[in-house]
Amino acid sequence: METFKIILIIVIAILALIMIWYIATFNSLRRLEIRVEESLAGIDVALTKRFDVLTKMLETAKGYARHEAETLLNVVKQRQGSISQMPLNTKQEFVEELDRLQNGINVIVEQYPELKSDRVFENLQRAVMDVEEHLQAARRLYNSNVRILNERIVVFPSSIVASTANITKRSFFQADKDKIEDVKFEF
Amino acid sequence: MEKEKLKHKINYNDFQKKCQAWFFVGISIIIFGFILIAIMQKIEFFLLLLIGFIILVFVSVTFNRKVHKYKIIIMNYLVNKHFENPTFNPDKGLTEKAVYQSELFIQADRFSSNDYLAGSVNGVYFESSDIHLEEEDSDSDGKGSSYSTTFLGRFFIIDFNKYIDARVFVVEGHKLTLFSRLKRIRLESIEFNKTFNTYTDNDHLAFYALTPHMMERLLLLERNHSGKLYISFIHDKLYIGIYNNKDAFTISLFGPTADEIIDYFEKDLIMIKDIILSLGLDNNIFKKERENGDI
Repeated sequence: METFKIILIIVIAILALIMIWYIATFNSLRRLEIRVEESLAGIDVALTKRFDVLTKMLETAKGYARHEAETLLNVVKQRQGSISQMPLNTKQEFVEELDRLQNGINVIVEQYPELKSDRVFENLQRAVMDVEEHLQAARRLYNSNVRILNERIVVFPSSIVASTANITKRSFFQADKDKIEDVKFEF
Repeated sequence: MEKEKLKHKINYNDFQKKCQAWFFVGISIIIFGFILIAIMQKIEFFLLLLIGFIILVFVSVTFNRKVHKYKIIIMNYLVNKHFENPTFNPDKGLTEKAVYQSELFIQADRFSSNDYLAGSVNGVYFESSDIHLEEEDSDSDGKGSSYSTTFLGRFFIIDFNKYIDARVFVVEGHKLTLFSRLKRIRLESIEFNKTFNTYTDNDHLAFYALTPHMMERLLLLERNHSGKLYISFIHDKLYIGIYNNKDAFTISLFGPTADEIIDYFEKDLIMIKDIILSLGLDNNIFKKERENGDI
């Protein structure tokens, strides 16, 4: 009888330890998921800011190159929906769109050099540089959090908790390096 | 002023040799005095010890007084050569308040600083000085106490070209007490994470301050300098401490000659220039945007 009691206590203790470990792992995975979501929201903020600044640049450029600026603005206006609602691959496409927009603005600046001396435009150029840095930081932070989460999901024994709790691997925010390098800031 | 003219002006080498000669005279008299006392056992020979001691004190006072002047002449020549609007004051240092604003150190029991240097490199303003922080340690019996150094080296406060509305710390080795309330983060560079521990209260701004280029340059800075690096980014300032147990810009009686002194001092000043330029702090594109107002 005594032996049975001891075995029972040991089994209960082991089960309790497994339960504690499961809850702790589950919570840490959930926390990592939240961090990924938060950092994705950071990308949304930076993208929205970049979109706004580029739009303002086009509005300012209208005073010098009405036709070219309006053509680009029409492209911008076709963009529908909130950035935060976009799936990740659409966000990546949006980044590429903004890069093309930036290139279009650079072409206008080349054609109308007097635009460079416009104080408001100059400030906006500086702002877009800073926003770009924030976007890069947000992207790097997101990828860093995704890497940590994905590692936990695939590594045993946390992989067991991840599969039972239906926590899946996330995609990285891929920045097309060639396209980023294409974006030059004319000063 | 050319280096040769400077050397000629201060005429340090002759002065150093004279002081060294007088130092040996003083030491010889003291040793001779001791020998005579030991052999002859006469109290009168204590006079020799006194004479030797007076000579040593005189040499020390004269040397330090003159070296202080030489140091100012050399440094004024060098800082004007390398920096815009420079200020050098060997008797002044960064204030305690300025150093503790970096939040890199716990308030020390004893604080001292000297060799204050300020100026600009490509429009980037910096201040620096030697700082020495000491903690008081009580003896095991509780009767006496002694001081142990917690930091001795050069400290820099440099205008940072981005505004970091958070606290970002990059340090070599663990400093758990100081940063216990902050989150330790890992950046993409494995080498950077191995070399430094990064603590922050805002992940995004830490990544914003520590760009891949900045990480690469900080690693290079660490490789090129002996001692531990303490770095913080707070608001528009970058604080860098190099804990190398060295007192910069010092001239000693048996130290290097004028040529070497000028080269050593210049090397230390070029290091400041290198820090600012290699970290790209002269790229003030973000700063100007802030100065013109947020958009």
